[in-house]
Amino acid sequence: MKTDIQLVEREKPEEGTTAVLAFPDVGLVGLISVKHIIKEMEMREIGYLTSSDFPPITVVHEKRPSHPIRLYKDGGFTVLTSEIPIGPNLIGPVIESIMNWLERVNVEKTLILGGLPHQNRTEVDEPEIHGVPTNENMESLLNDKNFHILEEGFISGINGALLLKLSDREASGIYLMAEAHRNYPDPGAAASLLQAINDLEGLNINVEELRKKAEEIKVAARDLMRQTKETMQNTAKSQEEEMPIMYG
Amino acid sequence: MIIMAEENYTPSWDIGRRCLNPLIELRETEDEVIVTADLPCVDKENIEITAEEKTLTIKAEMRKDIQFKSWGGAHRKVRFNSFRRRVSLPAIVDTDEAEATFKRGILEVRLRKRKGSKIKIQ
Repeated sequence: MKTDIQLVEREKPEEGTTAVLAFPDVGLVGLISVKHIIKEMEMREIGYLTSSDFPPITVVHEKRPSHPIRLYKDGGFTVLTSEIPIGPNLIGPVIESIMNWLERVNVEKTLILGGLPHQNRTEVDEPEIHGVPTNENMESLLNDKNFHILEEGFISGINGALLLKLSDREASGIYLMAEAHRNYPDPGAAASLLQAINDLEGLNINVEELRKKAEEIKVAARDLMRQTKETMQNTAKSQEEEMPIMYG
Repeated sequence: MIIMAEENYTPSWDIGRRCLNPLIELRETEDEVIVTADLPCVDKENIEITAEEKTLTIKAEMRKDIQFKSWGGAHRKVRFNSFRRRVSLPAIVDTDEAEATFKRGILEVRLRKRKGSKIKIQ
């Protein structure tokens, strides 16, 4: 699919930063996590993705019109977040645009944040964190922090495609997932994921505020979760819960 | 890309009743219909579930009013105080044999499908 996707930078991020990417997906875990990071770290908006193929949606944020897919930065971190689910037709072009930008600004590593569907999530007190690294260095990083590394499985949608593209281009990256409700917003899983990021990156993001506001977030996120569920149904998301063939 | 059939669009809130539409999931096994609903800001005591042969109605009072002051439109002035949803079931169920649990804000209702009669082959 040919598109006119443009990544517009109002300000350039520093080179050698960690990029954190999150799109609406399982339990909106990545998106809730990243929104909290932006707020807690008081990050500033530095750019956006735009295309005539995106749904004609303008986000009003802090009294001003804004693009649904935005870039933020602070210190050693650059964040890209989307408030619209990315359907199958746009996954390829959006990834291409993001990958070109990641390479241009020479990021040190990329963290993709998401959720891993857990059928009995209501029985889980503290969601476990699972990671998929693109290389040995990233695997060591996960091992050092005792995170579970997914050995076999499927990852669908934009997060899986992004991870594969990072791997193809020999870039350092990790897909970090917290066990979560598949189709209900899961701020509890986001809090667990943020604790993992604190551990991995030596940060001190306060997750208590997120836990306190969990119910309000769940109420406010219903419509986006409903849209995301429809998109996930078109990107073979249910396959993530299927068993891969085991051999070797 | 999101393609929303606007003619089928129903808002997830009802200003007149001051209620919100909860997210639900529905799945079916050989002998059960299982409905779950996400009910944040709700205590177990304030949930009312009514099962009929082909429908399930969930009503739940919230423990606090929710107001979306920063949103646009008329609903920014409304203090929402409950969830309400009527769910069409994919099979006829036996309403006497329903079970419900509520854990970590998620309601789960298990409804047994009505058993059919065996037919002998002549």
